[in-house]
Amino acid sequence: MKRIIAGIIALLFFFTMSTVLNTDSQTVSGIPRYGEFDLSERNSHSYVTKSVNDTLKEVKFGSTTDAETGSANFVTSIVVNYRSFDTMGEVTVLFLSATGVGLLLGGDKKRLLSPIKASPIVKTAAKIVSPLLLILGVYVFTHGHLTPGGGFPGGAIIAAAFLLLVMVDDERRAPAMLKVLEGSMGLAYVLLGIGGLLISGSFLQNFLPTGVVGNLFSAGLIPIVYSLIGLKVGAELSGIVDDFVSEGGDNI
Amino acid sequence: MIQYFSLLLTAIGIYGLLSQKNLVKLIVSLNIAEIGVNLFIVSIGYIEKGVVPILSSENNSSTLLFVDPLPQALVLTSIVIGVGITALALAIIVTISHSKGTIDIDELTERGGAEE
Amino acid sequence: MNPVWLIAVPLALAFISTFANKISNWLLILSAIFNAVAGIFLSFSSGTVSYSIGGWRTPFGIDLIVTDATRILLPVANILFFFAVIIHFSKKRASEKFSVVYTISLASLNGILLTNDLFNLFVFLEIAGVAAYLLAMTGKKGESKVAAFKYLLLGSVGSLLYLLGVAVLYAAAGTLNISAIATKVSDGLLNGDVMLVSSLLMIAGLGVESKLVPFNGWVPGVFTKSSNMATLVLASVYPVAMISTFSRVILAVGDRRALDLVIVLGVATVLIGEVIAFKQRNLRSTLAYSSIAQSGLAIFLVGIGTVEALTASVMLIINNALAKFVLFSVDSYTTEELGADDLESLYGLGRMAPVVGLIFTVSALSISGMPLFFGFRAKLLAISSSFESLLVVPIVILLAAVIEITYYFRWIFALYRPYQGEERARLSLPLELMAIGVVLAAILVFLGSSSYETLMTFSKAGNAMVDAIITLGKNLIGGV
Repeated sequence: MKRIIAGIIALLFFFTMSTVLNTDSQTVSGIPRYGEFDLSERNSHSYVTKSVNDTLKEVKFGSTTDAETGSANFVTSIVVNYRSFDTMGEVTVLFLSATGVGLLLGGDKKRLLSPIKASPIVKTAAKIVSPLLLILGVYVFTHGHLTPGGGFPGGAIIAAAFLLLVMVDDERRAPAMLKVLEGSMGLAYVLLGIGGLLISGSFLQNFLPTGVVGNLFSAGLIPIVYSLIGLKVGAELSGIVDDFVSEGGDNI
Repeated sequence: MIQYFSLLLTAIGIYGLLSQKNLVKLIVSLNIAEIGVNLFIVSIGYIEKGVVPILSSENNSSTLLFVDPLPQALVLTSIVIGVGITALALAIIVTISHSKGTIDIDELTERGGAEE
Repeated sequence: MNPVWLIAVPLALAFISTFANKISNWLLILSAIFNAVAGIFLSFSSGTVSYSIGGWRTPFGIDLIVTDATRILLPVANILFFFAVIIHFSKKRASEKFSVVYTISLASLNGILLTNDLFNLFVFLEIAGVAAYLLAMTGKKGESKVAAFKYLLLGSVGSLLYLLGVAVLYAAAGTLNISAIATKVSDGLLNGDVMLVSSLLMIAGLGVESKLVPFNGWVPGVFTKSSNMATLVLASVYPVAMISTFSRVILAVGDRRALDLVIVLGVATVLIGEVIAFKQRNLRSTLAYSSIAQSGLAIFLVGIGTVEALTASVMLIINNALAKFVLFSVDSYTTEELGADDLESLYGLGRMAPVVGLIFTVSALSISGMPLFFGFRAKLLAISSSFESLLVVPIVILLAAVIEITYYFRWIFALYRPYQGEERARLSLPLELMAIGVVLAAILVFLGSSSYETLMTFSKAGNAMVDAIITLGKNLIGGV
């Protein structure tokens, strides 16, 4: 009976949502047909042409200087500049969840042993691969304004390197430094925001020159913020992994 | 088509949330629903023949037709939030199973009632 | 003063306290003091002001908006939070484990009250949500975890539906700014069905945190199982932010047809909440169900949507926050001193501790809407404005008010009935509880008996609720 009701509610949801698809028309705007909408009707048009505050002009890769945000990757320009406040909130959510996991499970000296003994070949390979992963992670978050990726994927790759070590080595624990790293990176992000407020008059506003679109040293605050986020996310996710393998629990 | 598919995925997630009794399965259902919603959000930013919203040496001018980058940014945020919620939920499940010895929602509510 | 300080300072202090664990309690107190002072400071000016973040023009970047409604809700929320912190830290065994969580919840509640962007609101709702799940876990070992898990599940599904609603609106309107969407809505530029579906999704999403009827299964468990301090924050500070945000969003971007549904759900919430509260045998669960009823009362007025109704809604939110703060702190005082909070163990408390009895009585009378108290004016205005809708609405609200008065009187009588059990140890009277309780009770009496001019602030707030956002949007479009 419960399953039937659940099925009916799910189907109801599906059909209600389906009725509003493809409802765009000339007079009133609804949800456009898949793949057919006019970008100039949306806010994103200004993000792509970098003309929110500036006048509309063509931005060329590798030659335009001092363009708005200065980032070649438009998604990054939105995540870390136009809507940076969202990202600060997102970082806080992750921080809070990591804190919660730590409160619930962490704090124990011993840790769970992995059920399978890793062979020496796997152990050696993991020790070679994880530094490479670490470098890849750093590369991904420092190039967030030029290529796909950024702080969150970069941080996840760093945490994957740590996870690899945890899986092959039963002694491995997260260093106590991680908490300090996590907190100080978050603090640095908020302080950059306050710096923007004090220097340029608006919270999280960019106060550095934006340089040439497409250069590594461009886009003002974006690479700095993304590096902070990358290190923070890496530390947080590693902390979560460490809490899950610790034998703590019922501490609160 | 992809939009119907993503909504169907959300509907499957909702069905799971309403019908499952195991706490871990509830979290799996929540994640399925979340993926459906994220897929839907990305799909509203797609333009036929649009290019990746990154300037590079091939796509080197802002006058080209790009897909909408804003939904992608929103999805990035919502995925990260989803990861956080999932980690927290799993940690709570571990604690519940430590202290109660079960992760079946019916048994948990029965025992809660018995202890009162 | 830029209101972003109210969000940035608690956040920065929270991040500091991760590596300075020993002083994290002091950092929490510091941020609470800062926010209370800044909140009061913010309320001195008037009018609608928008502050951009990142320096981008308003419909493109995120902006914070301060209206006449924010000017009274924000100080109330911050000051109550400060009071909760004082009551918490006056006890010896306050643990510093959860200080970070409280500090971040303070930042997120201010964000919810201030933001003028749909997606930014989602992010802040998630922060407040995660903080609330963690706070709900602070109580008794197993039970509070189960209650917190239920809350987490409902809360996450709610924010998922809200996110879907935001996505649908973005696909149609092409912007996420509430003012900009509200302008498009009032000009009739959006498809009606799309609007209806997105409003339904948003009502369901925001309804979880605002305790609307089919989505409030978490409330009794969380309010009865979590620790005293957490309940105080979740029951008095959270609703101020959540319910006012519900009204702000639904009024600005909601469909007219969805507003009728809001009336139905709100009235159902009131009736169900009051009837179940009437049946409860212990004080805390009575108060939990009474909270559900009170939020229903504040929400059905949103569906009516006139300035008068919204004024009543703001008054009810504040009345509920102040009175519930006193009632829940008296409840935690009795569970700590007497060991229980059922009807029989409360006998004679009002005679042994006259001040506690007095503040309890005043708050209970105000929340049930007796004359001379603030709640009376709020309820009177609520009922008179509900005649705009069908006649059955004011009748049901009156009926619910009668039930509410009955059970609150039962508790007041219990407090003054002579106690005949075995001898009880002398009660220790916490000074800070009495001081805060007397201040809040005095405010309730003052607002209830003052001249009509003092209530003009509230009608200004109601006015701002109805049209501040849309006026801002019109100015923006005009300015462009």
